[in-house]
Amino acid sequence: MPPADAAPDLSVNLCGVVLKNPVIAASGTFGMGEEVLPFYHPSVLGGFCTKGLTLRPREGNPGIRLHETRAGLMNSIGLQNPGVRAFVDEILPRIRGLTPVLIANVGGSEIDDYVEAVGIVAAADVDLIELNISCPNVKCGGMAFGMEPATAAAVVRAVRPACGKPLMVKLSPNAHDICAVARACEEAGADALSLVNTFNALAIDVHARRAVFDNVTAGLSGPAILPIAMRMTRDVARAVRVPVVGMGGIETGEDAAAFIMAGATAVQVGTAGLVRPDLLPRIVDELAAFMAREGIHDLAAIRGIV
Amino acid sequence: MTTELYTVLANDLVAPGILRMTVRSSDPSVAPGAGTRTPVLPGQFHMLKTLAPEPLLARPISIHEVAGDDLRFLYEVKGPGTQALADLAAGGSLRITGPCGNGFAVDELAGRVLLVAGGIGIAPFPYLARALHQAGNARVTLAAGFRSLPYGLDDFAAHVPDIRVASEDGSAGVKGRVPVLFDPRDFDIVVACGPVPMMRAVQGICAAAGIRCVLSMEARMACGVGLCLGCTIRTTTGMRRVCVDGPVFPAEEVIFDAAR
Repeated sequence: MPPADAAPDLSVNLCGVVLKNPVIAASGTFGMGEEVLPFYHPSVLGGFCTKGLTLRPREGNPGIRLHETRAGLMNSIGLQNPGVRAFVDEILPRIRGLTPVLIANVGGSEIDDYVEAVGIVAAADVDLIELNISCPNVKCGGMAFGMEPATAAAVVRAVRPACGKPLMVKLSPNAHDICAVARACEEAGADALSLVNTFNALAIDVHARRAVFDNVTAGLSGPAILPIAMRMTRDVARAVRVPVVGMGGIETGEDAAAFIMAGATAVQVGTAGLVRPDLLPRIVDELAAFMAREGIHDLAAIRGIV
Repeated sequence: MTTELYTVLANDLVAPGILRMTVRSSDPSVAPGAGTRTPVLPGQFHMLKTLAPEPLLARPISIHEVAGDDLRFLYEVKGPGTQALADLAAGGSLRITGPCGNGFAVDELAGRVLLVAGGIGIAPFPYLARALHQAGNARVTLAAGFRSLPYGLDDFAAHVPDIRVASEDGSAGVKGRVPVLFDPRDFDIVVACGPVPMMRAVQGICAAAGIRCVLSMEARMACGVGLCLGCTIRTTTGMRRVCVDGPVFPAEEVIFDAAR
């Protein structure tokens, strides 16, 4: 037993990758990591996820990409990214030193593209692959794989041999049975699961009498989704043996603690870091302060207790 | 660039739906007027948010004037975010991230410079006009168009010898839209800020006349610092972020989407 006044240990082991603390910046809300340098150094976080990468460059969706809702943010960015080769050749050398744990988020619309993209990125100097089978904003792809256990398992099984790094699969809350999808991904070889991606949602401009977004629907994130995301995190954490990274509306250290109590090994923070670019290190500090106040020496002491 | 608390010194209505807000850092170690903070360039903007949880996102507001370390914004109430800002009283607090964006290249604005403003697009120009006046390389003309009664013009009197005004309803100046006020061939460079239809028109007029033009673009933003790719516009060099690659772009690079 450590002495009662010892500083709390925030470190976590995510499928063999040790994070100094459980707070990870979520894909698509953290640029490529360089953008926060005016505010703090990303190495203070447990790690960060890159913007979603695809085999070929994508310019993303046209028209309005953002819409604020009550306690939420809808987005339809559409995986704008320079492609995995430009990422590996041009961006990775710049950002590798920014974080001890670099998580490359990889998306796609065809199984072959997923396999090739993951192969390229996993062979480079990244620590973890986060496989995005849950983007609601890319036509005929992304989320389509994450909706059903069979299609989710097919893409994970295909990608697994090409992925020489730990493989974390990012799940969609829009799946009919997220626990069934989670189990299928685990059986197909996923080393960890992250959830939730955004909720497929609809906003209508009543004056124009049409959908706000060109794609009609878009993904909802932010504080509005927190209670649902936390329930799903708990459900999935109880359904699988691999570690689960929870996310959805986290704004404070106590929110992060709640996800860990729900069974998460680590958490990701997205929208809140857009609202306030200097926020994520504060969440780490708040979590440490919460643990110190509550006499929690190690996050394992509270993980999955609810 | 920082995210910090500021205190409202004044937040006054200057025209229907148009307010001018002056703020000062709440950090007691910042001596007002010392000018010791990150310098703010004309054409940059800040992300402003009240301390209330709602509305969720900060709002991008261009810098209107700078006095020492005090910041001044001129803004239009367009929705819940700007309404929340308008509801702040003197002494109130808000959180501001900035300065954001590239701003105008003051050194490159020389000779006969025309500033074209549409409505609240006039907001960034007083600070720019003052900077151009201090640089001493430009003779500045302002062409400002409004839907109805004009606002914000008194800020230019000291630095702009030639002020032209148009209003769509004829209530002030020339009746019509802002392009009626100028011939681009009378200028070496045109700087425009305003609604998309005006920007598209100015871009076309300047291109036809072969006159250099820069546009200060507006976009919906979530972060204002390049994290989310929510504010991109189509350009000749691909999709680019208004928040960090702009908001100021050479007009010939901007590709306006077909009108919806």
